[in-house]
Amino acid sequence: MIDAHHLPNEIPGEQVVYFLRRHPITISNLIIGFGAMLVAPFAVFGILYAFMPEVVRDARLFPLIVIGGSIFFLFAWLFLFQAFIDYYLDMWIVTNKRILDIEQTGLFNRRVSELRLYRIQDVTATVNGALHTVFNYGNVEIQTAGEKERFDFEDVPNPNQVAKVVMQLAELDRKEHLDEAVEEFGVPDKMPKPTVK
Amino acid sequence: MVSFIYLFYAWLIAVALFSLLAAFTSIIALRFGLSSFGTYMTTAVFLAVSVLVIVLVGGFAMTVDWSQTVNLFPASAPTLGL
Repeated sequence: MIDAHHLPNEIPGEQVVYFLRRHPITISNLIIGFGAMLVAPFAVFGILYAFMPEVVRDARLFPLIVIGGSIFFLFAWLFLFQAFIDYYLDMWIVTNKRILDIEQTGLFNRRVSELRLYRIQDVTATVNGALHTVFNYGNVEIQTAGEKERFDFEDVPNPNQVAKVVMQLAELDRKEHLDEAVEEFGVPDKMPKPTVK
Repeated sequence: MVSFIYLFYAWLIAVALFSLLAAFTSIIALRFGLSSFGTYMTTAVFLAVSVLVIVLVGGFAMTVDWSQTVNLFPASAPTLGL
């Protein structure tokens, strides 16, 4: 399991700032769909009981209805849980040293990417659409100097706040890793250049 | 005519397949999930509901006479009013 106090490859002095997942509203369609599937066996049984009671009372047909309905329910329940796991295991962990992007695709595919904060060049928050605006969720795009040039947080709550905090953390981390940052981005204009006498 | 016992075997196979997939999914949830109450709670609810349904239907299955036979389509048509 991922322990909030002991992240994988922990860096000394590292503290978790954000645990981010997609906004729960993004899986509402899925939950409504699977919820309807879970209710379906009971609804069919209710309809049969109301309009065709002889089928329900038939000693041979009733076991078939129960067994068929139970299998349908169990697999709908399993697929609902798998869809939830797919959502729940996708997360972005922001610490004061780095960002971890954990992506679960299906049951057996998992990708973990890591980005050190001092490598961040630019952070952009976008909130597009009425639903996104009402529920205040959107994307945070992080431009990096690494091989993987972009790092995206998709449909996270409070994207503007997250972008602001990530930028502040990146600034602080850059000061701690000045040598690496200068090597990565070059010498900033404000920095006094050495003079030769 | 199909013996009821074959339908029971089909149900057992489906439940075994479900149990296997449910076990895989639960292990992945607990192995890769965040160590939190939410992870334990959702996995426990999933397993509890699954076990409850299997136990209830299994209990019902004990009361059924599986030695009888059924002609799945033609015999059920008049009963279903088709």
